[in-house]
Amino acid sequence: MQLILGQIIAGLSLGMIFFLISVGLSIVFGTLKVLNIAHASFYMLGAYLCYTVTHLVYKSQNMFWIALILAPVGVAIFGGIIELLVIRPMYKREFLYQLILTFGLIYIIADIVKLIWGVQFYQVDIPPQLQGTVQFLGTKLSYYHLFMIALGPIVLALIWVLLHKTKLGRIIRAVTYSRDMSSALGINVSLIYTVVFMFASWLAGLGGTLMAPMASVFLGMDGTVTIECFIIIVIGGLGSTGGAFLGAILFGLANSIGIIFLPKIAIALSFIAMAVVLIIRPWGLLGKPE
Amino acid sequence: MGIDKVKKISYPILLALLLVLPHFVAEGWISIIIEMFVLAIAATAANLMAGYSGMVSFGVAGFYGAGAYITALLITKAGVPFEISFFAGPVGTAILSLPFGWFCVRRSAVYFSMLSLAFAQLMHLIVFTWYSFTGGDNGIVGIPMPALLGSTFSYYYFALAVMIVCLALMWILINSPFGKAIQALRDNPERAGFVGIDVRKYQLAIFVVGNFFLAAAGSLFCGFNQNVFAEYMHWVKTFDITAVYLLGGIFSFLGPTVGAAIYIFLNKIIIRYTEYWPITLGATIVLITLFMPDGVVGFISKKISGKGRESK
Amino acid sequence: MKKIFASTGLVFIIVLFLMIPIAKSQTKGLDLDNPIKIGYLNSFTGPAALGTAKDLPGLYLAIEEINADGGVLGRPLKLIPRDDKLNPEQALRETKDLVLNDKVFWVQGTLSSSAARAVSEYMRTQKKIFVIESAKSEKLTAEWGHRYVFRATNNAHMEAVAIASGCVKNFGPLKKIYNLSPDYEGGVSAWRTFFDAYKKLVPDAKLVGEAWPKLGTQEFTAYLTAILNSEAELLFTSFYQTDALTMLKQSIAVGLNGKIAMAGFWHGMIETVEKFNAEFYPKKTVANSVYPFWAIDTPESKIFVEKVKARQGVYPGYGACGYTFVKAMAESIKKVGSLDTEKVIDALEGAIVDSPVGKIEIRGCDHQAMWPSGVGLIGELPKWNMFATKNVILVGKEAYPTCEEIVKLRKR
Repeated sequence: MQLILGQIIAGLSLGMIFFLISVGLSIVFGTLKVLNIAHASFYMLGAYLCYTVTHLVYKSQNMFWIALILAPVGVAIFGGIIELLVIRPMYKREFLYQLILTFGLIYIIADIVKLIWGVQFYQVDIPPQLQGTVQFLGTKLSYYHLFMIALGPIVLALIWVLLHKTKLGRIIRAVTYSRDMSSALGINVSLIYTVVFMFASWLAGLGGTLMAPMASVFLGMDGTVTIECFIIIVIGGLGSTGGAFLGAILFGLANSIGIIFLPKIAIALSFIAMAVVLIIRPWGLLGKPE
Repeated sequence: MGIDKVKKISYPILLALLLVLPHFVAEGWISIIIEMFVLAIAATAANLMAGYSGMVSFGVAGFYGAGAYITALLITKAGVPFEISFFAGPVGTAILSLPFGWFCVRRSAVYFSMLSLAFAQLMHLIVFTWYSFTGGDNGIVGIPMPALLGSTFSYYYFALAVMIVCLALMWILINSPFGKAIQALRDNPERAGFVGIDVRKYQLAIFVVGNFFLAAAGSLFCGFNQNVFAEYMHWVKTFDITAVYLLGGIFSFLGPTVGAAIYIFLNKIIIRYTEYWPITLGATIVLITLFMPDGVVGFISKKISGKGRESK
Repeated sequence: MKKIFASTGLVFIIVLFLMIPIAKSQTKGLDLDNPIKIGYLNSFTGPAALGTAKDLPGLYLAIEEINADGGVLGRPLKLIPRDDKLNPEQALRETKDLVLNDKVFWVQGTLSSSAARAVSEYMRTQKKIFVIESAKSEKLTAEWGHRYVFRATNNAHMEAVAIASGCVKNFGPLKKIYNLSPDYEGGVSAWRTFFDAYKKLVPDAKLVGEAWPKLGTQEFTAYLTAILNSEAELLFTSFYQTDALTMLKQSIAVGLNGKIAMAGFWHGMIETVEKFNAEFYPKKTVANSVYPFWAIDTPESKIFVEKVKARQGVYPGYGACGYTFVKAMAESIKKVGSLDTEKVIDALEGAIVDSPVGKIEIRGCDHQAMWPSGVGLIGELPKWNMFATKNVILVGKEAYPTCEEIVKLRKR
């Protein structure tokens, strides 16, 4: 019993990180109709910025809270620049070209990170307020995991409120529904696109910032999550925020429980699940059929 | 007509050049050119699906690698000589791609792409984890080749012949009534359906044919390097192939071939001079995508003819 | 139709374009400097780039010292580094370029065992020397070994044997073992060798659980909690570098660190240990290191470490092995008096060379430099201001398979 519980908590917290990274990808696809393969690069950038901010003041572990604010904003700004320079000219182009362009971006951002931070691995400490574990039903749960599990639904709610309860959200939904009609109605679609892209970058950066204390910061960490994000948003439904949440949780749980019962197949499970969803219900669990 | 005359002259000259090239070019560069032949076949095959049929497959590396593995395994595990194993690669992969394709063609656009990616990743995973049979990440090396193909020199001619045959076959196909129908499908699947074309069947056919030639490229490469590794199936290779046909130009038949030559050449030069090849390569890809919308070939065509893109 | 013309013309132009470098390379032989070229393969991008950064200075140092001393046969040595992207296809491509175009005398390098395998096989057909720098699969010098491949460092087999005895020495005969290793051939092989060696010392040892996450896993917590809730006494893991650090992070977070003993197979690598500090290090852990300079008190070692630090600001890793082998090659070429690959190979076989870890033999039967593995318990080293292995025992020849065993493996 404790085993299962421990696994569930671990799986859920992993799922939350993946939710944060994936939801941005899903939103960009839903609204801008662009599949940004370089999205994971923003995640990596967030982790590196988190490291830099937490080490600005030597040995101050409370800097993590500052990093939590600054790092994703930094990534959002970078995302905005990318969108203006490179993505914007591509909206009228075909899907395939957008794809290759973002593929080129992966390489560019990877080297930018290497040029700025070098080849060293970096460590970020868990902030003192979140260190340690709590005993629960016979197993130990780490506070940091619980924090991440709590943060996930908060961010989900934040996105929902943003999209459904604010004027900006209404505009974004209008643009998602029809770019041309919104434009005809006088909405500055280009600006909205930039805002949405920056928001998605912010989310990915947040994912990276939160991941940094749990793992390591290193070159190539973007490649460790790229395919997984595709799987999650496909299963959840391209363009669906709730779908990304559900998909990420399922992914996290399947991984953590799968390795107990079916160790060798656990990794294949996610690809199989992706294939099954695409075959039976391609718009995903919570997406809308075209 | 003037253009046809130019064609009649330039093609044979090109062919003649390629035939005598090994005699006055260093072996190191022959090796590179063979890789260009392989990539040209792969990219043209992938473009059959993407450019001509509107089906962007993200699983191209999987089928490319499948051809290589089938050839390699037949030779090393069953002792089947290369002469047969080489053909078994594409044939086997074509058969393999039937069930995958059956599912894939029932989905359109991005879903098709994702599903083909899922299948390719599964193939990669199987190859990677089944190390007792496939060698896993250690691959299979030292695959014996027939004596006739033993040297780089002789393999060059073999690869050239294979490339010419493959390209010719694909060219014939795309200009046949079947090929015309498939392009009609790309432009307007609904209308094609009304005219009585069984959309799914045609798409499945092109999927199988495309993967057949992708596997041929894989088998050719396997024979050249006399090895095969799980990396042949990795999704980065899919993006390499996709970048090649996009950069070359998806609207011209030889576009992917041109793209292959440029891509391999670029990679070679960049790596010699800097360890920061990702940003150099990435920037090149981004710039070409932004400023040469129809690929390099399309760009040059436009410059020559002075007008915009003509659709086939 | 114009398009066909255009594309044909373009292919034409490209082919002509190709001629330029070809023509150029033909005049290279008239270079006045005429260095003896060494090809070097490793990753300059991605997570393996750090290892490369710690490896290269050792080689450059060796080359500088040799050149300052008059070079080899009156010619300077020159290193030509190439990125292999940790990929066998790319490694082979670059090797062909280095051998055929740059005309290197030998190729040294790579961390990736699959890349090493591809290159090794090619060099065998080309009859040119390939020196494996940091790839660990023992098969490369055993069943896949041949006349033209050498290895500058130790291998995973002997390290597994070494750490097995290190575990028993430090922890006593623990019986219940849990295995958490990466799912690739190297991981499987390391575990099997360790377990076989361990069972020879502790006959009733048994496996109480195992998990095989893939390399690059970011989340180990699920596995670690499973281990915490199992009856395991000793955890064996061959995850290394970033994965090992991630695992440590999460192990501390769930309270596993220090609870049970651990055999951290590659936890002793310099890239890993230099990240440890008082709040962040694996407790009750035994680890292997290729070059545990913090435990080697010889003046040669100290000088070597200082020189590398002065040159590149880093502590050396595999570079110590590379340094040694480049010097060994230089000596052999000088002894032979010419760049005759066959004679140089003969000279290398059985040669005893100086290295930062003492005298090393380059064994004739498998071309393996008999580099030791330093095994110890991880703890604080106040003199060095770092956390690394203490009471290090340098396990050497006895951990390597015997020549008879090598011959048997190759016969299969």
